[in-house]
Amino acid sequence: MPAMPGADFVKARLDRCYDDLENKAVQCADRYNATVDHIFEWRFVLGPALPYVNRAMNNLRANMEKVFQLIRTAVEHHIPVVSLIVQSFKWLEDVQAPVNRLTHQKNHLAQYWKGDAGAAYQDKIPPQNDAIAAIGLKADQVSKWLMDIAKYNVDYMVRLSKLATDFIGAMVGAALEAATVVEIPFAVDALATAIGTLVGDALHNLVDIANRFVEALSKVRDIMSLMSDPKLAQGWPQAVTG
Amino acid sequence: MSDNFQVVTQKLRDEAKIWQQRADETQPIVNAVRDAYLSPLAFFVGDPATLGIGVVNADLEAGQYEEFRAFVERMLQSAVTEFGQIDETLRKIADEYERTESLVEVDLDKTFHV
Repeated sequence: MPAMPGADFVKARLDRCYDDLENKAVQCADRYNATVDHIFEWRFVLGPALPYVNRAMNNLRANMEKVFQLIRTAVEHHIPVVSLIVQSFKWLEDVQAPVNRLTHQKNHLAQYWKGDAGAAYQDKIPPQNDAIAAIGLKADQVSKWLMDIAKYNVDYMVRLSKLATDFIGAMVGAALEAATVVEIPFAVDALATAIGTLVGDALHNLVDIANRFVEALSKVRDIMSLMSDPKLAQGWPQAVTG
Repeated sequence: MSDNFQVVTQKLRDEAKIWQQRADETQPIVNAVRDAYLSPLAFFVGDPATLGIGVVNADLEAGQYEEFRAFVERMLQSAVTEFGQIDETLRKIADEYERTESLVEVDLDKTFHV
């Protein structure tokens, strides 16, 4: 059996969002700096329009820095979130599946071992099986919980990666660094407005995803209920005096 | 020792072996659970502060997850011990039967938990 194809698939989806993410941020910064240089060259000609241009550029810069900050945090959390995906599948494949195989199967021992001791032994089997089933069920739940969280992380990264692509796309499209001095004030304003809308929409979506993530995260209490399960409340059920 | 009696103890030894194998199969599961630690950073790639949704972090939930993980590890580790003890007990009973050639000698209170 290949090692965790499921985990690899989800991890690949997440990793793909990181492709070129930082590179796009660098490109945005380069374009921005080139535009600043360009405006600076024409500063005397621009004259009275300069405060207007500056306001639009500051607006653009604020949005760009916000996106950079989102990218920085996402990059810092990339590897840890991959470990969450890996663990989600481990709870399923390395815990739940083998735990369920521990269940004691019915056999004919009772026919070969009659009497009180044999009966006492048979009585001890169901609590062992119940405890095994309780752990198996929770391993399944914790896996689903982590996968749910992973899913919102992937959604978030898909959106953030789209934002980075749209951002650089808008900057390349505007080609401010090549604009003529007459075009500059209008082009800068149009770009700042477009970027403002782009970032505003993306933030709105990202906040939505973050809120759904928080809700999924809070379901940890369903996982914690195992610790008050009567089948395990006294620890692992004791069958024999060891 | 009658033939019938030998069948009984052999079946008991077979049963003991099942529990010994079960203990062996449980240990790798304990190890998997032990390795399942997750840092609070592992829960979200997002940046709630920059998104303006306040101080959201996964510290509390990461702590609860760790409590859960440690609990499961502890339970499964005790299961390894218990399975091993069931194996040992069944083998001892088989030995005792063979020694005394009698089926009524097992002291239930000394052998099984109530």
